[in-house]
Amino acid sequence: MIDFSRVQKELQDCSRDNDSSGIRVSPKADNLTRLTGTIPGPIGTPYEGGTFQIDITMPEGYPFEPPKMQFSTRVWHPNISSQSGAICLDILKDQWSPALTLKTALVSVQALLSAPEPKDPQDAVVAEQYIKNYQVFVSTARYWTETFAKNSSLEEKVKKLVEMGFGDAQVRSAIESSGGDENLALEKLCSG
Amino acid sequence: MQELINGLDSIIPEMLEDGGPPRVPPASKEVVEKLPVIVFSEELLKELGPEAECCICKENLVIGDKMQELPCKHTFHPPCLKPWLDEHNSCPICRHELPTDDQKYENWKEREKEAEEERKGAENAVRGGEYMYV
Ligand SMILES: [Zn+2]
Ligand SMILES: [Zn+2]
Repeated sequence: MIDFSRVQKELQDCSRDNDSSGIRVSPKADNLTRLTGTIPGPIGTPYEGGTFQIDITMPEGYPFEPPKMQFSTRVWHPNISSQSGAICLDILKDQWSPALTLKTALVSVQALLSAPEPKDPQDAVVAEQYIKNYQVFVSTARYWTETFAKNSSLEEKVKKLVEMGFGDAQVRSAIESSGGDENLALEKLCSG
Repeated sequence: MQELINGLDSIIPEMLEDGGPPRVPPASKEVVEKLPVIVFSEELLKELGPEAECCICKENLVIGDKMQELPCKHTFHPPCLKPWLDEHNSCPICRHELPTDDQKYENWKEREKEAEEERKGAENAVRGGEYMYV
């Protein structure tokens, strides 16, 4: 059984924290089993300037089992599958602890972007390129950031509507249920 | 074919992990039963501040809360800690390990500890030759 009161609390803490990390977590729909995490690409890396979305699925045993996290934004990184977005990170597997949170897990994912570990790869092709041809790796990763992580029209829409005074989660579900149409989403939000 | 490759992508790293340490067993039932229980008091509130929380349920502690204390001094609500120690043997905060009832695991840990000390000994010996004569 998922501890929903804890998840709720985590979400509140996240939205209250206005730290400089830029890391956010919001529910996908009304139920709290599927969420979206957002992390900015770390400065000084090929991911700088990108905004990366992470699909989060809460397992039945949360917080005693780790949340399942997978990049939905495509990313070129030795420890992230360039195909599926699967992440190779110990705290999301056997090093999970119930004292960790969605926020701290996302902080670790962001740290992974800054510090790839090509010796423990998730994507062998990327890892090999990282080791053998670092410059090519950097330019590929940068190109993927430009192509996939700056295509932030959704984020821009969300930002605009949130600035009009609607809640982040509301805005996201309104945009989703109106198929990405900003005006339709606004209508929905206004009609409550 | 592509799907097969995607599948392998996620399976292979897990397969490789199999050669590592054995799966961590739960904490010893007897040890858990004997963990001290402390009551969150006015004094502790003063000492730890109003933000003190149980790191598992993330609820702030209230005076009168019974808290189970691990040897590392980290405390948790007993019902919060139980599901974790039923499957793991470490403190959720600092990973301090409790004894287990699994002899195989305890033997492995003992061997690891000895190997670690040997490594350290070897490093010291290399770094400062004088250690060898002490
Ligand atoms: Zn608790
Ligand atoms: Zn501890």
